[in-house]
Amino acid sequence: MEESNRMEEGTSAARNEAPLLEADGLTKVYEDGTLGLNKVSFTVHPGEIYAMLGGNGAGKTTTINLFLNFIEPTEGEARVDGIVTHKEPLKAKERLAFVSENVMLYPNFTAIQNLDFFAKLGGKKDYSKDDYRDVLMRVGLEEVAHSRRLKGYSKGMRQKCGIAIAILKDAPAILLDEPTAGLDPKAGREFIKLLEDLRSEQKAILMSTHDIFRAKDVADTIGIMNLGELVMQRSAEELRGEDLEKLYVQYMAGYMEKTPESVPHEEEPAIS
Amino acid sequence: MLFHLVRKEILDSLLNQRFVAIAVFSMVLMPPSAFINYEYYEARKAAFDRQLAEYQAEDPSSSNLRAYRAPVVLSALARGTEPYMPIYFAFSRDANATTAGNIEAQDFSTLSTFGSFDFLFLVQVVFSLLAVLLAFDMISGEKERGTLRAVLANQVPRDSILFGKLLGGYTVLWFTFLVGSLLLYLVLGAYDSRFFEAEAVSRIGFMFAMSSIFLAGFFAMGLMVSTFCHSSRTAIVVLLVMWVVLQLVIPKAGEKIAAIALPTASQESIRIEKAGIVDDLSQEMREKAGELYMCLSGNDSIRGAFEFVRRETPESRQFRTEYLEIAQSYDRRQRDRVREIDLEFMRQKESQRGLSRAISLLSPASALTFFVSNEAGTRDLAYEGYRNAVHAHYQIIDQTIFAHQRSNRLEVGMEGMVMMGNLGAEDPPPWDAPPSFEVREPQLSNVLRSNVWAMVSLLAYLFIPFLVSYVAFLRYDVR
Repeated sequence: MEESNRMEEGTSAARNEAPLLEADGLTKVYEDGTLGLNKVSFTVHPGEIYAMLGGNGAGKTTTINLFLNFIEPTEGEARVDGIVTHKEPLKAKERLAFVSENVMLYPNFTAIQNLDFFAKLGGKKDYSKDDYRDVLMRVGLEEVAHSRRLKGYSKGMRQKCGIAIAILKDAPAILLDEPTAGLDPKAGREFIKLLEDLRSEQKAILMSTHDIFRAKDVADTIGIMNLGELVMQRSAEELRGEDLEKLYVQYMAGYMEKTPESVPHEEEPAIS
Repeated sequence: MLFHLVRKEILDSLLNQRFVAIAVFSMVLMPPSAFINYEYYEARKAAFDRQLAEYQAEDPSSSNLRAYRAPVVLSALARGTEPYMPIYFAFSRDANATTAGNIEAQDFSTLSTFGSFDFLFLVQVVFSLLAVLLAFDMISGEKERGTLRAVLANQVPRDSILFGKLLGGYTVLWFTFLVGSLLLYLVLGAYDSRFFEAEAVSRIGFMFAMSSIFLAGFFAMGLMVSTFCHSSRTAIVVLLVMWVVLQLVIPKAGEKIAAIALPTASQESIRIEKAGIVDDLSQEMREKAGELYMCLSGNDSIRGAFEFVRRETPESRQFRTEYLEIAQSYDRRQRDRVREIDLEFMRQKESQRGLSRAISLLSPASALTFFVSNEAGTRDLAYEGYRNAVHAHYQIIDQTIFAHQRSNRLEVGMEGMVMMGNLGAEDPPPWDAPPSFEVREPQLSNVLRSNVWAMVSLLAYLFIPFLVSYVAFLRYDVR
């Protein structure tokens, strides 16, 4: 692990347990030479929500892709419950649930059929239709929609289905890629409530997002990424009373240097 | 897990209204195809029976000997080149031996681009397009929609996903094809019980099996392109271009390239060349006979030659003996020369056909055409069998009938005049009825043996695309 990029862990509540998600010096250089991620390290513990903030191309999705072994790291490791994802991808994925920005399920299938397919894919073969209905109700999808084909669903409804699938998988770690993008305020609030429920079930949640305010509301730890680097990481406690938006803009504009000394502990980043 | 993925692919296809509509349309085309082609077969068979009856009703005459081949009933499944095959060959006693007779006019309908509206056409064109339409977005569509990310986020091996798609998608396609084929078969069976005979059933079974492999090949190709493309639109464009190249360009290019690389003389020029040789040698023979006549008769005019030849004087007997030697010698020379030309032409044609066939087999469509139409008895193999049977029959007729006629023929030439007639009195034909001609259709085992490369081509088009898509999908970086 690169010392220069080592970040302090997030919530105090979770720190005593072994991390479920670990990025250890994660680096990805694409075939065309583009640097996707540069020596990124962080951990997410059970019962912790870690929010990755950053603009487009910051490396948030690349990080998630590396945890899912969609791509292989050039250097470093992503670990899930101690399992190195690119060495034992299937074993790692058993412990992961994933909800993407635009939850895309099979449009010709109903919500129940989609849940059935993905639950079985996730190794859960004993669920009944009632179980599917219960979880759909839990995520706020009304019963009348359960047997409708997904091609008629709104983005919010699809997002709820995606969350339902993640809940059904009952994995200890959950990856969320821009989960609140495009959701209306009501759906956004419902979603945050669901995240809080999942946290209380001791899930380790890694979420990439542009939404600074929701991140501040729900996350236990916030990391800011820029140009493939984790330039800041602080716990919610450390950020209490801080103007996260201002901080975010400063880091994104490159006003703030990423250094091991300055990032986790500075009271107020200075504008250079 | 695999069963679960296969089940999902089947369900997804069956819930896709666009696919279901096209599949039903493809199935519905099968029974009318059976109806049209069986009617066509019956019309050809009726015309054949009429001609044969007329031929048999004629007085047996050595100048009117023919070898007929009836249209085969399986042509209702694949017409192949049967419409362009002769219904009969006529035999003549001269060195030009056989002449193909009664070839039908070519069909210039719009369907002639591919062939006839038969089972083969439906497999080659309609069902192969259905395979492409089913496969083109199997992976590219999932990439586009984002569902592939959702699937791959689970503990499912990538090869299971690919096998699931191949097996699930192909099962839907194959059942569609199976139902359509059964409908077609039942219509044919209702017309003609010969379709239920063991030989026909096994031939049709092989046609169906190879057609299934052909469709699996197009499906695998669709899957391969879908694996490489990130957009369904690109995938379908690439696949349609490949489809055109494989269905239209390569089969036609095979013939053209072979004709350029290994040119042969035309049938007509060979006929003219042979006729020229026959004429020249006949002329030479007549002149020699004329010199012999002049020498032995002392007569410098051709008039009175008949009387001289038929006299029982020593000179006349000597003329007849020496004339027969000359005539037989020239007859042999004519036959040898003509045979040389025929053999050379056949050798060249065979080389050209071999190259054309080798190039054509790069297309699975050609491979299927060769296989199915040979199974049906409507292509090269049956035609070659017919030609060989005709040749063998000609040898019998030549030895028993034409040799007798030639030994009684008299042709003498002098001063630009030719006298033709018989050496002796005209004999009655040495048979009660013309020798019967029978052509045996190639056996199933022969057909399979001669179509090994077609089968290899079809299997290669199944395994290579799947292997390529397998490797590509395992190496695919999900973004």
